[in-house]
Amino acid sequence: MSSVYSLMTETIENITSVLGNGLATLLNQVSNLWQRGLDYISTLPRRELAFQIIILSVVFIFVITLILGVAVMILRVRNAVRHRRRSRLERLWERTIFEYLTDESAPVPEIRVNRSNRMFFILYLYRFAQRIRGQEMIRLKALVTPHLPFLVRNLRRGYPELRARNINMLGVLGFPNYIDSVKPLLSDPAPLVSMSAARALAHPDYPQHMALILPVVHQFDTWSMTFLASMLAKMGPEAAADLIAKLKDDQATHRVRIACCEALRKLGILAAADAATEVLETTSETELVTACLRLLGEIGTPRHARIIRGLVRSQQEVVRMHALSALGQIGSTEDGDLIRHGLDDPSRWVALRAARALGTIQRLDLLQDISESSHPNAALAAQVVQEQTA
Amino acid sequence: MRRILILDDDADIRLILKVFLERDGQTKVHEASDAAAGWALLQATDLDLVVLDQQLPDSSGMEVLQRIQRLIPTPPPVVVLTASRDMELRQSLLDQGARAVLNKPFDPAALVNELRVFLND
Repeated sequence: MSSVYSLMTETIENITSVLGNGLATLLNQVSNLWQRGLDYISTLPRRELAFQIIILSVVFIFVITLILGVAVMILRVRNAVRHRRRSRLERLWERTIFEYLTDESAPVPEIRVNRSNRMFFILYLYRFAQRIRGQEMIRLKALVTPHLPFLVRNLRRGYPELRARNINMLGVLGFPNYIDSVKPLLSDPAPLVSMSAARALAHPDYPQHMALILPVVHQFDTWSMTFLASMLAKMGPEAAADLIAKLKDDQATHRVRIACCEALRKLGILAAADAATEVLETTSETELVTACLRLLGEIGTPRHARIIRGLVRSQQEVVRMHALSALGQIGSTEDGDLIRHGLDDPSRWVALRAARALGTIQRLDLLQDISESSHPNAALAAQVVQEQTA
Repeated sequence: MRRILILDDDADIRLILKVFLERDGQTKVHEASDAAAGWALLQATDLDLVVLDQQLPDSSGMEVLQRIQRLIPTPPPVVVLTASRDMELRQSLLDQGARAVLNKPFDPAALVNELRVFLND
């Protein structure tokens, strides 16, 4: 106890020398109070001390509970008041907005919105903007346009979640007029913000935005590949050249190249098949290889089959699976014997892909032979034969 | 007066459709946010059209559609709204008796015009 006290006194002396007298006096008073408390406790018998500690603890818990209870009540009342105020505002705006939206000849109404309600007004319109399109969407945008500069000012303020929300709203309500304000946010340190900026910029009417988005895609490593590929594919075939270049770029991360490959597959860009073949010749990264094989399986032609044939005997089970499927899609009946070896694979999944590939290239004769033999995958072959002939 | 049921858990969608459908003064829109409430309205009201969301909190649009076709002697035409682009799902809905499967988000005026076609059939 005394060592704590001496340390405290020393600290106070140090502070006294640095700070003004006012603060030092206050700290002195606190330390005196502390000392008096310690002196008082040291005079108490042990049982009485324990009793007093219990009493103090109960009082402390009661006070804390009381404070929390009051805080909850205040928050509930505040939320109820806010909800009532917002419901009133919604009713007020609803009539004007829908009268305007349903009457094509009506001019844009002037809705007076207080500064404090401006964000709520934008959020209110955003709710409808997410659900409609066409002429009504254009008219809704005209209604919100005077308030968008306010939204732009809030793009760099607040928590990442709020900034991301503001970008999303601007992407819907302010596209394309305000989209330049979003571009710098692609390099925002918060991944949620930069991702929202990328989503807002990914628009089929602006394929040139692909060149802005691709350099930052590597930051989105926590987002699902499906989501990334869909976002890139949304920009349409006009942005395919950038995607192909990035797919071939061996300096780019595997994840970025896979996202580009998946986007190209979704878009069905035929020129991407040559790029995928080039990638397969230079990389051994499993996920990238399988992405390229999926792409070739869908949009490749028989001239792309050569590289796939080499991967049918890969060390990687997943590569063998996708290679067999792709070969089934773009190979010929002459590939039957090669694919047939897949049925001897120790992996049942590889064997299944091989059996289905044989079915796709119409080599049911090979499957039939296996199904009638004592081959371990005879039942599997019989099942695929049945599927094909059903 | 024509009666339309909008069965959708999204209050904003219901509001948009209600305003656009009722503006002709000859249409009365009933609303329900879940399958149970919708089914109660279907049984209690003589409806000319049902606009059905494919995803409801307590059921799927497909289930509601099947129930309508199976249990209502003269079922009203049903139009399904969905954000899904799954062609198999769309075909299944049509096979189950949906008159049309329309996209979300939608152009309200164009959607209402399409719905009126089914009202006039």
